[in-house]
Amino acid sequence: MGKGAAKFGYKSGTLPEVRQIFKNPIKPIVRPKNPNTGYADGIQHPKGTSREQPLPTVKTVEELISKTVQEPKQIPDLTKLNEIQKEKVTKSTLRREYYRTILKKEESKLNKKEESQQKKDLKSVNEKKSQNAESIELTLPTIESYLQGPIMRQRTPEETEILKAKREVNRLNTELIGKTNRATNLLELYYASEKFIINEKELEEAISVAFSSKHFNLPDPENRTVQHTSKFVDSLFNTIKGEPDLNQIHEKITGKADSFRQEVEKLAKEQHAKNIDQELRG
Amino acid sequence: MSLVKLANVAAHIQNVTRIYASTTSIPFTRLHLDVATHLHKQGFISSIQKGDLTGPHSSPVETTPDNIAQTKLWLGLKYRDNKPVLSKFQLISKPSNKIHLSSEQLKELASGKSVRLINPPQPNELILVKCHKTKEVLDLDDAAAKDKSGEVLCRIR
Repeated sequence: MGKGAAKFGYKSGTLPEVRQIFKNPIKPIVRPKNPNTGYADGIQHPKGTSREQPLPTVKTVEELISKTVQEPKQIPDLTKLNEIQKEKVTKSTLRREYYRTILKKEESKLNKKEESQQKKDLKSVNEKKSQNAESIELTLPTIESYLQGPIMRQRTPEETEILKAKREVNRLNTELIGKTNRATNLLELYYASEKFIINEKELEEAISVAFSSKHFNLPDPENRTVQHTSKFVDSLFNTIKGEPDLNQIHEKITGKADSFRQEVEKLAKEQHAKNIDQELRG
Repeated sequence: MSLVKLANVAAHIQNVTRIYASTTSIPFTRLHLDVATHLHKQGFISSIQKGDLTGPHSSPVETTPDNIAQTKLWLGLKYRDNKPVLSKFQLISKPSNKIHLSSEQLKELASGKSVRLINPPQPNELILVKCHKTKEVLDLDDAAAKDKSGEVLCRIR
């Protein structure tokens, strides 16, 4: 074992031990009587001791506050005090305030904890009751009942219908995805076909261009970045190599795009008019 | 197919007893339930519970077509003197060689004679028979006593 930090697994320090804020209970404790402990009837207990185990003394939050952070009997007049005295008075007031808040906070925290525990207990008791209900225990299937009858309950007509509907939705969804992909591919092919050579003239032109260059075209590193940027732009604006994609075409055909543009223009005009009004008034 | 599944279960149970597992799960089918019931009756296993892939159910759960594939039979395994109570679980009738015995042949086998190369059961051994027509699984003695004929499934010791 090393020295210093090595002793604590190379951590710079250790946290202080968690202490309870309230040393005494803040509420009266209810201790359920255990029949298996204590003195039996007719048996005397030692002198100077109590027959029942004494309960711890209760100190409520109000009591604690009134006893520990009492307000001073004479409230000093701050105007007559010098700087050091003023600081002392304000600091002690703050300290009292902080202590009061922390006690109240701790009280509410403990109350909440107790409430949640009570809820949990009640829930577990109810669950146990429902599990151990005689009606359930007596109607539980036995191995014999499984062997004599069916080992599985068949689907009810409603369940069958729900399952059918789910499968139909899944099928339609898959079909839609497939159709969209096919349409996008077709659109991409359509855009790419602009560069296709489709007649003799274009072929000759392409050949002459290819053989007229004196140098071989080496891959340009800048070109790559351009490709990446175009991909980025495509994904950002939903386009295919700068051309409109399937959704944009669909919006154009249905007229949604036009109506949207008109609305935007209208709003922009209204905003512009407002701005001018404000400038004139100002 | 059922014999193949039974062979898988047989091999699985042999394997888990060799590593001294306390419980194991097998698929929930009628044949497996039948076999497990006989194992429990004869004292080879300590418990049978219905459950799922994670463990036995704590509260009753209905078996439906949606959860039948995940439903499992959880068997409690037994050990005595640091040795498994169930050490051998082998098929007699195999998918490639199914052995159907008549009621007379079953009686002969139960009385201690070797029939069609099947050795007679030892005192600590259990032989299970799947009856013709009713398809119920009985142990060899019961099948012989009830004058049944059927397929000899497996032997366990």
